[in-house]
Amino acid sequence: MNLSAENALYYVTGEAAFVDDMPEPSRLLHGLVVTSAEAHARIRSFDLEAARRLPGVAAVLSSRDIPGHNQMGPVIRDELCLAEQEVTFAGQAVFLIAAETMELCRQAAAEIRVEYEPLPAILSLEQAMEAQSLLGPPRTMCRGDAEAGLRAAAHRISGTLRTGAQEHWYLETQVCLCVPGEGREMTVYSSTQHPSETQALAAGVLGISRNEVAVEVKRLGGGFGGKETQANHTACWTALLSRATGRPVKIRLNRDQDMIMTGKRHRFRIGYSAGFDSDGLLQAVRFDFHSDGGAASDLSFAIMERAMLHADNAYFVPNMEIRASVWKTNLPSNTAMRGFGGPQAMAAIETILDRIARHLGKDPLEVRKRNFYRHAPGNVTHYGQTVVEPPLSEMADRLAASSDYHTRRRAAADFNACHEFFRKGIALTPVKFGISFTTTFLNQAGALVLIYADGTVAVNHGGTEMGQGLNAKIQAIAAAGFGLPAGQIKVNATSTSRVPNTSPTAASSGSDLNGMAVRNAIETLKQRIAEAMPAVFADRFGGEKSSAEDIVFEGGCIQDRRRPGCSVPFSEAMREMNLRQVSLAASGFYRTPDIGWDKARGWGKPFHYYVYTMAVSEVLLDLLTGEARLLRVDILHEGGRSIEPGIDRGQIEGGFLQGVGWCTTEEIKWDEGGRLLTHSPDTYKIPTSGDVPPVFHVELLEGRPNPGTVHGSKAIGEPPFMLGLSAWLAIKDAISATAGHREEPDFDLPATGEAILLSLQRLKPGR
Amino acid sequence: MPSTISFLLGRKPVTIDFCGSAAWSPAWTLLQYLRSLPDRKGTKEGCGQGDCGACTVVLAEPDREGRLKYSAVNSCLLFLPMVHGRQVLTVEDLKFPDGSLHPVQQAMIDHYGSQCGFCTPGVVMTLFALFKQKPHASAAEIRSALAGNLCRCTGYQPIFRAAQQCLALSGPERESSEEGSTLAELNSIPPAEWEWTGKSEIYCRPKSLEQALEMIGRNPTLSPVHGATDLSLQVHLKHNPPPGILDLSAIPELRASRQEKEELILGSGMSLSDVAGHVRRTHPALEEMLQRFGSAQIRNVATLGGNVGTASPIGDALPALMAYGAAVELKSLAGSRTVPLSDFILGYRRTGIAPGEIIAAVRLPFPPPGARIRAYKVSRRHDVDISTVNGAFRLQLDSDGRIREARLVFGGMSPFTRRAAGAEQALLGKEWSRAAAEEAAARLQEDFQPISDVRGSAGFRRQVAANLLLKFWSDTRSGQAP
Ligand SMILES: Cc1cc2nc3c(=O)[nH]c(=O)nc-3n(C[C@H](O)[C@H](O)[C@H](O)COP(=O)(O)OP(=O)(O)OC[C@H]3O[C@@H](n4cnc5c(N)ncnc54)[C@H](O)[C@@H]3O)c2cc1C
Ligand code: FES
Ligand code: FES
Repeated sequence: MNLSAENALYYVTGEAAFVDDMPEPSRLLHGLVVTSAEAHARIRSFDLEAARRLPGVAAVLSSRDIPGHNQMGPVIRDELCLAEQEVTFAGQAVFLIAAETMELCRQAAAEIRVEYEPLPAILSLEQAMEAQSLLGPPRTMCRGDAEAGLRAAAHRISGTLRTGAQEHWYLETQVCLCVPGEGREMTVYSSTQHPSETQALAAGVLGISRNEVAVEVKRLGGGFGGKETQANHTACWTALLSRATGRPVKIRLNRDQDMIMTGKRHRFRIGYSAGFDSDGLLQAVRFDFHSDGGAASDLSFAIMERAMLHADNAYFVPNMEIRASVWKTNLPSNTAMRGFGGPQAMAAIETILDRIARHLGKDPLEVRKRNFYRHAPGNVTHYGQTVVEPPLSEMADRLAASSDYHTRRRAAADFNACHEFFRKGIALTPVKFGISFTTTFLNQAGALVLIYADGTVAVNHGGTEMGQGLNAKIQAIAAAGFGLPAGQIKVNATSTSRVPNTSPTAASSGSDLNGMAVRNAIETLKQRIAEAMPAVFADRFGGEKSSAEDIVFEGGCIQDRRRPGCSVPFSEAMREMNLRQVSLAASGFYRTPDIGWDKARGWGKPFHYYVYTMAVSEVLLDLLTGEARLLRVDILHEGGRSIEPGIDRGQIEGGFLQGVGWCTTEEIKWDEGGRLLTHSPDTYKIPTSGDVPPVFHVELLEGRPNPGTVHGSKAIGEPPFMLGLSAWLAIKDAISATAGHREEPDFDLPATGEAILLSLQRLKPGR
Repeated sequence: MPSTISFLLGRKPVTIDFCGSAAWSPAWTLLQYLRSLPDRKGTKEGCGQGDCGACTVVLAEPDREGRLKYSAVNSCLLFLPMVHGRQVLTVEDLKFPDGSLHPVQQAMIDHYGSQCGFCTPGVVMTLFALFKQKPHASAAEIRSALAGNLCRCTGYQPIFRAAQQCLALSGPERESSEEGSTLAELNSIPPAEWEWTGKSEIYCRPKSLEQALEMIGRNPTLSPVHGATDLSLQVHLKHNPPPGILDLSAIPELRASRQEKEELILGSGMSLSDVAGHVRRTHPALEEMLQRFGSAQIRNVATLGGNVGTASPIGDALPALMAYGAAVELKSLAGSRTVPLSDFILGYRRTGIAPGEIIAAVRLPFPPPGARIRAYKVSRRHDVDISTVNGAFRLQLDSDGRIREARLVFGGMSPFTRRAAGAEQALLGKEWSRAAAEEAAARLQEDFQPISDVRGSAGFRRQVAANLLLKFWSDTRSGQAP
């Protein structure tokens, strides 16, 4: 059954209201954020008076007008809400305007006079490294002796890989509507993945307490990590304007503002060395990870940590050393995005595997299989977690067979032999992705389940619905728990007034954590009801007394499983409960068990479990234009027992294509002043329908329930993203075919047409 | 003087008088108008610049045979007066009066076509137009129709499945009965013509060519527009409106084409979708280029006249038009003149148009038999992208196989689209061989000094331009179809 049908109904009819679609409160003002055009400059002076005097302008604010703390750093408090003496990136918020119309806001912005004194700016990783501009202390993680392993290995390769930034491009840009209440109360309607943090930061800038701020989130028009911390900004700005004017205010960034002001996926520069034997078995790997954190920390350190924890991907590396630095530059603070550091690290280890195969003249799949995690002792990661029964080899075999991998590789070689201006390339890449927040305390969730006396149920939880089908899954969990049809369950908008202190909906953990919390609340209610039911049965049916253990919730009824016929419809039973003074509200709580991570030592069990997924991509490369087209993709995904396969399939297909975008057409460029050049969809190209491979198979591996999660399911959001790497390496395979697979192409990420053509040129004989 | 437009919004007739309205100005986009209505929030803004399709609505109007023709368009680009005499359908209009879902909506639900749902209304409207206009669309046509609807969540695959399901269903329809009355209502709306002067802008809406010429003759600072896919960005994205807008979209004669002995005469206001249909057989290289021009929503409103009018260095129709030897027909109160396109484009976004003139038509000669003509577009993304380099090439060989005439036109290589004189020269009198192509390619280095910009470096442009000549050779060498 299509459980998401109910939500989908509102989407296809246009009824689903996003923040900008909500009925506008009377006296609504529109807000505009005035940003810096300089990457780094001292603010010598500014004058807001002319702007303030314009009729229809209700407020023009600078950092001096912030009643609370001028701070919105989510973890480390190093991020100002509005710039003070200095701007540290182009696109930084400096002033806020509220006016009757957007047109008036723009006019007011034109009246603001600011004098900047430009300062030297750091705009690349290389410049940051030269200036030793670190955001925090570097970190190292190691197992064994990488140095010795590299020395002892029969073969060695080394190189540098650069991976590019990526814009989230959620379809709904950042938006917030604030409505002031009595006294200092503020209701915040935000498109945020982290309502509790939005609440905390909004309270912080307003200088009020959290119980005076209510954040409500009905749905997001996409998040992908871009609204995990950076929706806070728009919310804080809106709240400030609303407080200053005492009126409702809405800020919706337009597309270009959103792209200019918000952070992206971190670009990485990765140095690597790998040592291996003549069979391609890895002996040692050393990585130097450098990420561009931008002007403030945001989540950069957690992202780098996850990168370090995925430097192995699916491979056992006996000796591993990872050194990691997060650099500070004069660009918007980079932030969470689907995969959260995992993609960058996997690009690096997959590059190594790919190079080993070429170096030894072997099939890359064979080399990958040889290095997969296997039985003990080859099943322990470089951070000490045991990889329990990895299904990697079986999956690779199964996928190779179902996708005709070997036949198609031969066919590609034949094709390449007889075409001068085209090449085909094929690659299979695996993903092993760890599920849990590596910031351990975040692995918790709360829920509040309410049953009304008519037998309908309202579920509240801390997660946010942003397209991942969370609410449909929660509804399914609740329906199964109470033995009710899904239609009797309603999942409410997420609200900090109903569930406090929640974690972000991120790290693919939304349904794992919130689903469990909801289930726990349901168990509490069922227990309470079961204890009260024997009296109901006795009054209705007489006879021997039922015992609470025998009460079951099934088929819309509550029954005694030992006494056939002793059954009351759920709705009637709830009326009885109400009459008998039984509480029909319960909160639930869940914390992920069995995880423990010693950050300082870099050792432990940070992940509850792993998700495994694999893809084979085939591309056709036009050697004259550098254009690469995906011909066929086959995916095999191991996702536990899926609560809703239709949703999971969509997450896989969508995640894959987003990954392909990062690997191919999505290129972020800045000018020499640190201003974003690719600030609109006109210049920043995410995949369209034309980029979907014409043959695209997705298979969900069935029948492997995941112990210790809701219904044996597994998280789904992030892992498929990294399958995009198969397309990237297929392009590399095609490039490398032009030199008989003997030489190593220069190849970074993204592989744009221009990058491909350059790579081809460098491979040309005689150069 | 009233400045009134009338149209159907769904099933409801609407009349707006801009003179009496403080709320709406004619330079508003259709999207701004829709979103100002409390019950039309389904249509979304994802970019406000024609690239994402979240704002897609469907316009219905009588076609030449008197049937309703449905086109998906970006409401964020269209000036509000352009809907005069048409029916505007948004996602809220699709449910049947009995409350049941349209097959397109049902299919989107059945196949998980929505995740976050923000792109969904636009996708639904694109599919609805397809359902109406092309119920037998192939898989490739479905993809192409959807290329203007960005979805960041689904990876499109579920949407393709939905499209296939609903198209398979498109049988006898419940709407048909309503279409008759819609047609009658639309036909009863008389053409409107007016001039409107606001605080800072002027909007003129002639209904005939004479009126248009008279208006621009009186006020030569007016900017003519057809589809507004270029001009609207100037107004709403760059906030740099021209002094006045002369909206030519309601002039039937500019939207018509005719055929003479030697050439096709294409009205400057014909949409690119329309043009593509007309030139498919006669000018396949142009048609192929138009397939990759913007998105379906853009092609449904953008025009040939607009593409020539922008004189953009990466205008995609321009190289092919020049390769076919097109000329521009200009009209003003003083009369009319015809200028070869290659003489009309003078510089970066600069044409030889005289004050008071408008582009009335593009004259497109039929190519002589045996001409080898191809057009190419290189962009960072295959669909809905601006060219980094484009080109159209044409060779005429003598009976002995030597090149008699060569036209090598490139865009993206200099401030305006132009021919590569040196490379052309290098080809004359030669056999059409790889060596000849390579020699011509080498000469391009002197013909053009391209710039580096966000779409590509100068080096890349040079390399690609040279490679395109090799590709042209590979595609047209003996043994290949000419
Ligand atoms: C999302 C998007 C994608 C696009 N993709 C492409 C693409 O792939 N390739 C490409 O080449 N372009 C592309 N464009 C640009 C634009 O769509 C084209 O240039 C189109 O042909 C313009 O036609 P129009 O009728 O909409 O022009 P308008 O916006 O109406 O006019 C454009 C210019 O021409 C002038 N003009 C228009 N008509 C006349 C006339 N009759 N007489 C004199 N001057 C006139 C106007 O004053 C204006 O300066 C794209 C634009 C968008 C928004
Ligand atoms: S809003 Fe993106 S195309 Fe109109
Ligand atoms: S469903 Fe989210 S953008 Fe399409």
